[in-house]
Amino acid sequence: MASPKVAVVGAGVIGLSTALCITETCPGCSVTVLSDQFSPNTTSDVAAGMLIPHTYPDTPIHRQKQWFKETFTYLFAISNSAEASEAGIHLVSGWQVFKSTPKEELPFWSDIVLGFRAMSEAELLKFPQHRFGQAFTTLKCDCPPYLLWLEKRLKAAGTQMYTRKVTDLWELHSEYDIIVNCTGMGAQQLVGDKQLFPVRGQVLKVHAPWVKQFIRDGDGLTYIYPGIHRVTLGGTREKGNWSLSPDAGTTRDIFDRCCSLEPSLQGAQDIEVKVGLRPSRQCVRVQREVLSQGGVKLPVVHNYGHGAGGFSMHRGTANEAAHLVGECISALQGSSSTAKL
Amino acid sequence: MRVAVIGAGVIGLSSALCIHEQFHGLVPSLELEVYADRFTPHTTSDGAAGLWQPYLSDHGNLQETLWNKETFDYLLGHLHSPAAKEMGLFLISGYNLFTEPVPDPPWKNIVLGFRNLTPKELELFPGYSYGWFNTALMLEGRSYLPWLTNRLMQRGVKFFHKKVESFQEVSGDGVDVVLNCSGMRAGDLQPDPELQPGRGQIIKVLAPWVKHFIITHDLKSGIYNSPYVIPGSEFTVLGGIYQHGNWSEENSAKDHKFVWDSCCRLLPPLQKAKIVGEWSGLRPARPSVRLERESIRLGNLQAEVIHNYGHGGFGITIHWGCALAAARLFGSILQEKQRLATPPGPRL
Repeated sequence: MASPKVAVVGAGVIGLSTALCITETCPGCSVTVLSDQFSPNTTSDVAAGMLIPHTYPDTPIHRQKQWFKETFTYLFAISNSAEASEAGIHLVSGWQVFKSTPKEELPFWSDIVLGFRAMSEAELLKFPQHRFGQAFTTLKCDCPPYLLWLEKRLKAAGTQMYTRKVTDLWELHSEYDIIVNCTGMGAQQLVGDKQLFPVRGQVLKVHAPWVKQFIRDGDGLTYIYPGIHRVTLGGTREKGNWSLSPDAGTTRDIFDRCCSLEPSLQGAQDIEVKVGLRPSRQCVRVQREVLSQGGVKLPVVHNYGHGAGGFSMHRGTANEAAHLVGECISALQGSSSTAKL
Repeated sequence: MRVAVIGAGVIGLSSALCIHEQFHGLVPSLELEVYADRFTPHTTSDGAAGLWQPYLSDHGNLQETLWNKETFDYLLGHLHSPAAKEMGLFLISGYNLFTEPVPDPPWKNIVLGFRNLTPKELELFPGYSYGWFNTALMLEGRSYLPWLTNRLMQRGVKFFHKKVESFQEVSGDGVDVVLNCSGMRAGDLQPDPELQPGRGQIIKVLAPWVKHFIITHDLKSGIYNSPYVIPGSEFTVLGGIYQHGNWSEENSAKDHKFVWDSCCRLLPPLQKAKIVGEWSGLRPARPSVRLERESIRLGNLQAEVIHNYGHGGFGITIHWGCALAAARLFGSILQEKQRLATPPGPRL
């Protein structure tokens, strides 16, 4: 087949990074990104973009570690280059604090982030309600800059991008040879995945430029993540809540919780409230599938269900999905040569 | 009782505040006056980035290490107070980089989380093979000096914009004690060949993605002669100049090039940073801080002078410890003048 036509559905961090990986691994492909939303209106734009992994219960740990390591290594190189500010990638140090000592004191990612160690007694004095903590340095991907940077790289690689709402993958079968499904929460409707559920997160984005360090409560509910221009204060984890409207009571609660970790936030200005639905699943679906309808076959590669770990795992899952696209192409080329016989 | 403070940098203002806090209740007649030719934002303290970090070695001067510690602990105690933002006070972490292993500094247990850099971290800084990571404090002069000024004004301390040419000028007319915090220009009031300028030049840039301080060290060139990057709350400071004996406060193109090129080499993302300013200042360098009493005879009168100057490139780092020491000297002067039966407060 001359030039396989690949459609990537979805333009959040997963869709764009997967599309970029495909252009890198299959230079002969023509890649098109289709999405009803682009930055700054994707779920990714709401997220802080911190590289602190979420553990998926049903994905083997070694696979999660591989995904995280590939993502961290990729971003680490960009963070120290002249492109860093445009890409919105920067190092940030800080603390994860726990009210009671966690069962697992060494998370699987502790040797991938930088300088991971237990907090000292002196450091814990700053958090009188917390008894244990971890200090480390990790990376942050600020959005929209990161998504816009991915879009720019895609355009340079000849990728077309169109605003289009895809309601059925079969809509695309006449125009494209392979579909890559990076629709995040949209996969629930698009492919009828009932294992996918929203976990609603509300965050505040504030102006507090003196906050240079991140602080995260180990329960995952309260966090302070300083970005390039704004600090993200969070948050909530509301399983099954589909509402995208900010809740005023929640805003007050998030602000109070963050101020108790970092009192200087009382002076924060320009508070902006945002809501996103983490596309959550027991395991990330990175998988090949061949759909069949009336004798017509449609190869699909799925890459969705990253929940709270989209940024942390994006490049690793994108690499894997691109590899699966390569397998689809080989299969198509194999069958087309068979058909010629 | 009248006290004249000469100098309105971090040393003058903090010593004044410390003395007023400790003694105004005990000496109702206490009147403080601050005299300076430069006030914030035109003092040396305003140009400094504001990072709390002493030099690598105290050369056996344990007194100075103690003053540094007192300052750090004092500031750490204020970190959670509502005043912190107004003071320009916040936590910051960062890197000290070397081309060879060095002994740990005397302040390793004062800062938080001091540790050596891991090999992976050193990959970020080609050319450097050893280093430290720790969490310290920023105290931005542009905010701290106005905060100190407001506290002093609330206490009724008066300010006079005047270049003081001699101790006589302020000590006549009922002034009992002179607090000499004149920094670089102390030599104009009383010759001091040990006080020399340590000229610095910095470039201010907008680089809000930089969240860590990075200080490199070249043991052969000496302190601050190697690039450093210090992110503040409004802009990031790039530096790396220390010229002993150079009195010029003019920006030099050659120094600009050195700072810019070496900082961009150290941190490539800085190539995209926007330059928003440049500044040169004179660190009031001295082999040790001059913090002592002196009785000066001026005609028929005797004035007590408390000298508190010569803090080099660590004025902000050491200021509160020195202010406390100056206050103790003040207390002993009061005792001698029998204004007080016993000295106030615990002695360190």
